[in-house]
Amino acid sequence: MKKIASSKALSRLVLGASLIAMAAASQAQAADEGPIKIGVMAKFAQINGAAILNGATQAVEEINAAGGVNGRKLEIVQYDDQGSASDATLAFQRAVRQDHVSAMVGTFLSEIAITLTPWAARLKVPYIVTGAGADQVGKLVHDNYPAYKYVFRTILPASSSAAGVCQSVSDLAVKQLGYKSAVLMTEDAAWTKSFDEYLKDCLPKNGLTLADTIKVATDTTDFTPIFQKIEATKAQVIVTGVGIIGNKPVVQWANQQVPMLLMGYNAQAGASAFWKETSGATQGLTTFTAASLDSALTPKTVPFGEAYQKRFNTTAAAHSFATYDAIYVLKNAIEKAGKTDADAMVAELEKTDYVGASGRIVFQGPNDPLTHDMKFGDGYVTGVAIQWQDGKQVTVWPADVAKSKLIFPAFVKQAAQ
Amino acid sequence: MLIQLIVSGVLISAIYALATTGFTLLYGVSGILNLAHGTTLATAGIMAWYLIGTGHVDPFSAIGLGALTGMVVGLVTYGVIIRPLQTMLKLSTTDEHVFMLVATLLWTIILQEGLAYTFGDVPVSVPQLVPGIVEIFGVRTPISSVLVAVFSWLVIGLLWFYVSKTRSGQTILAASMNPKALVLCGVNLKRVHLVVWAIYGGLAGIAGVLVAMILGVSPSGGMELTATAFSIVVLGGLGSVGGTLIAANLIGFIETATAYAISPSLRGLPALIILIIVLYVRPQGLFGRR
Amino acid sequence: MTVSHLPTWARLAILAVLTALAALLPYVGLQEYTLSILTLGLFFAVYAMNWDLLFGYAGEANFGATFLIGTGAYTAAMMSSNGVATPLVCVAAGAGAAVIAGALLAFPALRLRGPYFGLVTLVAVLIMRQLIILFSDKTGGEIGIAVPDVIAIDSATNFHIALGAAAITAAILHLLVRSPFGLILEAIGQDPVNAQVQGFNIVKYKLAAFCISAFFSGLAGALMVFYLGTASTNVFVDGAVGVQIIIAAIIGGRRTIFGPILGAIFMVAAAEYLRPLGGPLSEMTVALIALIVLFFLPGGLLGLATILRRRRAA
Repeated sequence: MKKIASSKALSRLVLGASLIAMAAASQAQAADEGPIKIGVMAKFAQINGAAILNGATQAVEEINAAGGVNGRKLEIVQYDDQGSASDATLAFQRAVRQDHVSAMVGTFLSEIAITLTPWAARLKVPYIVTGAGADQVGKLVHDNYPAYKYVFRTILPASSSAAGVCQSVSDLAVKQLGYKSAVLMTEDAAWTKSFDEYLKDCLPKNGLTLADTIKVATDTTDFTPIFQKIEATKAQVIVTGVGIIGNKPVVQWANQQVPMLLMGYNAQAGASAFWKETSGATQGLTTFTAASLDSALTPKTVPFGEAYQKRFNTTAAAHSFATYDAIYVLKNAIEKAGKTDADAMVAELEKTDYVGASGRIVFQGPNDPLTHDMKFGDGYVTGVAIQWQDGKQVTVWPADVAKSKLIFPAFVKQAAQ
Repeated sequence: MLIQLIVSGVLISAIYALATTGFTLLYGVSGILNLAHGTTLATAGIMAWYLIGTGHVDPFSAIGLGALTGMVVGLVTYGVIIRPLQTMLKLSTTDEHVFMLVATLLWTIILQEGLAYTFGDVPVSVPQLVPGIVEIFGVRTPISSVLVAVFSWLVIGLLWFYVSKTRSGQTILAASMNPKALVLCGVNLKRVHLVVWAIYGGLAGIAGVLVAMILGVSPSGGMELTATAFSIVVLGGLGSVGGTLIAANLIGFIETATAYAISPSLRGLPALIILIIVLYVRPQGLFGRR
Repeated sequence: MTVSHLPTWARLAILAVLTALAALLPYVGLQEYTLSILTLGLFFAVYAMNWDLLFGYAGEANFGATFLIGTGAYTAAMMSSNGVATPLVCVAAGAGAAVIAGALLAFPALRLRGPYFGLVTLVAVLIMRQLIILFSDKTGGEIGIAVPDVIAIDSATNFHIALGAAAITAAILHLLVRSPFGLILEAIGQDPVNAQVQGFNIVKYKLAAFCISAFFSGLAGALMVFYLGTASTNVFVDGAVGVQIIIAAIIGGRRTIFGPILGAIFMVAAAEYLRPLGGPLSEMTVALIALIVLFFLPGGLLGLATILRRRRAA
């Protein structure tokens, strides 16, 4: 490779005309021989970034051990986006133009996924989002199809999470505990707009009236007034939608002994380090997430979870599942296409019907509202609800994979009636 | 609702007051706005969180170790950043001012990224001093938060006692008023500054652990803490400890009242707007000297 | 003897030649990726030069550069995403909006002295961020706004746009600081009391400088939106980005206009090439290098060039 590069540089100095042909030839060479490069992008200093990288590493190591893809090995190239959209844009360009990756996976922040979506189309490279959940990504692909057809996603978008939250909360709070009223507490952010609308409609239909809906500023530090307001409504459970705020509401919920369960969606609580970060305050918190270690959603879920634990000495997060599945989905597409040509890969990706660690992955079509997002619901990806119990995430929903009943922190009274 | 507002306002204001006292003291005595202030708090908070997590340290000793951490950071800031800048470069006053701000900002980045590298860039919370809750006029409040508030005012009280009743404290007070005269009296100004930075670091360290207990801290959240401290201090009048204490309570109550009476999502806005208005109308702050 | 003694036309000629040479970079085998780094560096250079105009000459430390940049960026992005106008019209509107916002902020704020002015500009950024999050249905909130069009996809064109913006800004600002207006501005910055005694309306001059700075910052912000394809708070409305701009200007060499170009490209390139160290360590190293420059080269990188030339002359 080095020789090719230096002779390329020489030829540029001598012969301007042959330059384009040479460069094209060496690029084609790089693309058809040697390992297939897959870019992984995230902020690796953060736990969710590490979870994305680990998921990809696990998949790539398994695939290479089993002989690779069409006889070629997979190789991960890491790109740290530092959580910034401008860094991500630079890194994406470097990945495609300099490192010649065949596809990109990862990105945790929605802001970055939205920025990179047009770039994937401009530079024509398949890009699978495995961290960011804003609906806008799927909408962008839908509105700009076929130009933006290169972008897919293997993590649930916010609206699917909202559906998952509604189903899990209805089953747990209404059917199991007999609760009748709830307060919806979500952070004041763009992603919660559709989340709120969905739940305001869905929860009452399932027997849980909303006593109040409270929007919380993302930089809120003191939740005392909010919890006291919620308590004054005499509702029985708090349904949350938080991702940016972090662990503050959970820690203060425990410290102030707010006597109602926290359920719904909490992006951070899906990560295994959450117990340590909150010094155990998350005991009894329930959140909807893509998949968990102890729930046999598919035959691949538990083996992946155990292998991950063994390899990285930590538990797999939702993004680890999504990235692990994304690499396999890519592998299948490359095998079927027989080459790493972007359009051929996209054509195969669109035909994906693959049972991964997080469920059966089938992508929505150009006419569905969120194009290239996973189909959600029975028979596809369903997600699970986990509850933090004594340092572990325990699956409590859906019933067929649940490992335990809900438990109650000492300060929450079980009596619902 | 009024009682709730008062109780939670008092608790949050106590933390704000302690977290900003050191910042304003430092400015009063040495004329330096330490923009690494928030990150100093975060360093102590994260260190306490880490030490408690190892299982060998309880939350009470963690406050002490946090004070020690803050003191070390404070002295390093002075020795590595501030002192060299004052002695090595011969700058005009305006230039030195901006260089100082830029240098402490760079120092912030170095500290913050060092923390992120060592502990990961995640928000962490220090466990409560003691578990359990107490009813104050019917408002359920964590016992630990009450202890934290009492402890904050205790530390501020000790600081007041030190500055106004001890010889060494009086020297510091004099240094803030007329450093040149102090040199003429044969006082070693360099030593005064070392003492002030050590006190500052200790205060910031204690505050950092308490902030981590009540609100949580993260490496990249340091800048936000600095911004809050900065607003409070300017509102009260730069360098005026008394003004800072009043401003801390003012901002604490306004934020809490906004969250209760208007909407939690607007919490931070009124304080910022009041700050702008005060700056336009009375730039030296509510209680500052011109 | 040194560049600083050359007449204005000669310095502009040097700038023109350097710009023309730089414009050839895409055709001499420079990697496309290197071009994209330089592109970002050049946008950054525009921000840093305009910060230098305010600090180096008018004597005001603006901690809210991203208030101006963000106004330009978000105005352009919101117009474009709603299909109001073509990218170029949006860019012009962004620059205009930045001037208006800048004037509204600066007119009362300029009465303030020292750290207070800096604080108001910083608080302006914080308030703007809060408003963007609050009105997220219009602004995209924390996710940002994707614009439907970019001006160009290929790296060379984008590089030329950024280069053009930086070169024109540099030329105009340079002419400006050498004009009578600039000299008065500098006098005000160095000794406001004396300038006032001589009968100059300090606020008027500073306000004009602020508006000029706002114009170019807003313009570059809007252009950068159409380069990145999105407007988001962490790129355009962030106190930390404002800090990076200040650092770039200071390590490049304050009160030089050209120095901040060096500083900005240095910052972006250093961050990029230190990337293999990993996020935290690379940012830490950049900060450390900047701190060393601050201590040992208070005149900045451009100051170093002057020192070296003097040594050779001696």
